[in-house]
Amino acid sequence: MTHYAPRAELVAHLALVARGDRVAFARVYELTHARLLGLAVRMLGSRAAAENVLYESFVCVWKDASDYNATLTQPMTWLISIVRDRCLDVLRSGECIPESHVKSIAGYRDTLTLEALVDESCEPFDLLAKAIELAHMRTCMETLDVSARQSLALAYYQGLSSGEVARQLASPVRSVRPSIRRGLHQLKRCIDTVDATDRNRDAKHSE
Amino acid sequence: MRLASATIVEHLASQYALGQLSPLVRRRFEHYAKSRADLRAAVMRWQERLHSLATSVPPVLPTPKLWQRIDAQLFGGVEEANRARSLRDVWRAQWELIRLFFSGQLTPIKLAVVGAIGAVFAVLAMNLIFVLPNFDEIVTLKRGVLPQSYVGILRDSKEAATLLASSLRQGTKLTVKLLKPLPNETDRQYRMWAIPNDGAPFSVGLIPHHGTTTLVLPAASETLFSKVPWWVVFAEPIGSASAAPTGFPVLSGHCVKLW
Repeated sequence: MTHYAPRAELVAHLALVARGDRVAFARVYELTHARLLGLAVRMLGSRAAAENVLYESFVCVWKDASDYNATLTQPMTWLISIVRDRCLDVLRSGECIPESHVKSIAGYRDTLTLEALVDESCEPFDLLAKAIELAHMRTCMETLDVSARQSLALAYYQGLSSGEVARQLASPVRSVRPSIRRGLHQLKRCIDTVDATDRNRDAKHSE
Repeated sequence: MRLASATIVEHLASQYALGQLSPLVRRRFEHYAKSRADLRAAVMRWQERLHSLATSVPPVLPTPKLWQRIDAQLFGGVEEANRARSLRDVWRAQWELIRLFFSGQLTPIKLAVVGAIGAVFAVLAMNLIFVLPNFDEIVTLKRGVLPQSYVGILRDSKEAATLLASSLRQGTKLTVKLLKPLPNETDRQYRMWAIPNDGAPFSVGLIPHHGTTTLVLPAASETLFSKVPWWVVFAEPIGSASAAPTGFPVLSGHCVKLW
């Protein structure tokens, strides 16, 4: 993932953070804070709340760096998981009311009804489209139906539960849950296919 | 929570990674995951897949205060407290001296004697610290070679000192000594990387899994390592000649300039 800090550098620095190296910790912060804050702001809809989450997340990184295992997961995935878990805790506990989310979704629900949600220029869906583009998943994700794509985008980028997604989309929960499941299943197939293609290409290059 | 079937594990792991479990179920799932490697592995696979979606989120720069808060919480608080404590101790000692002086227990003559002895010790200490060469320097100067320039003791994940690396001042060789052998794996090789403060890591060279070796450096150690605070040894796939570290880190430690 070229959009993130170099993997190897982060792995090396996290190994040093696990030993209590403060300079390495500062470097991990320097390499990742903007990406992680971007995600937290996206999920919480409030910069102040997002900064609080990032603060708590980095305190956690310092304390739990020895739990990170480079053979099992990418360093950025580990860091994103810490930030995202904390954002979900904040959202579920009601500590933070993401006004901007409510306004934006309510905005296009009230004015443009259901058709607006098909419009991929709306922010969460736009982000999903960009992510698909970046991960070269366009072909397989295009087969995913609109409701699954919407549900997945709202759940990932805004941390909404299935009940909240249902309310935002003005759809019954019983149809949203299968949508999310379909979306996840499709995403898995896409990413696994892309990964397998990449591996085959790398193998051919190395021959 | 029933977690017997692989389908259920996969389903719950995906829902957990996306954040779709209720807080109660989430906590119970985390509790089970602590003792189930298959659950943890399934969650990690899903997190890896889902977090590729985060690539499209625009970065946001935090206020500089955020780092100050983190720094203060993790390190500054302790340092501040230590500084305050030592300041308090100095004041307490000063106060004690004044009290003794005015109470008549410490006469001006006694005070002068204590001061003179203190001054002699201070001069001796300054000499030891700043003027006299250290033991290593004396030894190396006697041998007619320059002292070590950059050294590092690299430790494994259990904090055991495993590798000693050192280069002479202005030297173009790095001596690497394994203090204890690394696992001898047929599909892995060990490569030492220098991790600069600002910039990409660069390879120092391949090292054996035991014994001692001398790595030839492309430039003088000062040129290469002046901005390198760490050395890390990665176990990488055999035959790898990647420009960036691959595999996983097995040893790491500070690269220290000795003079």
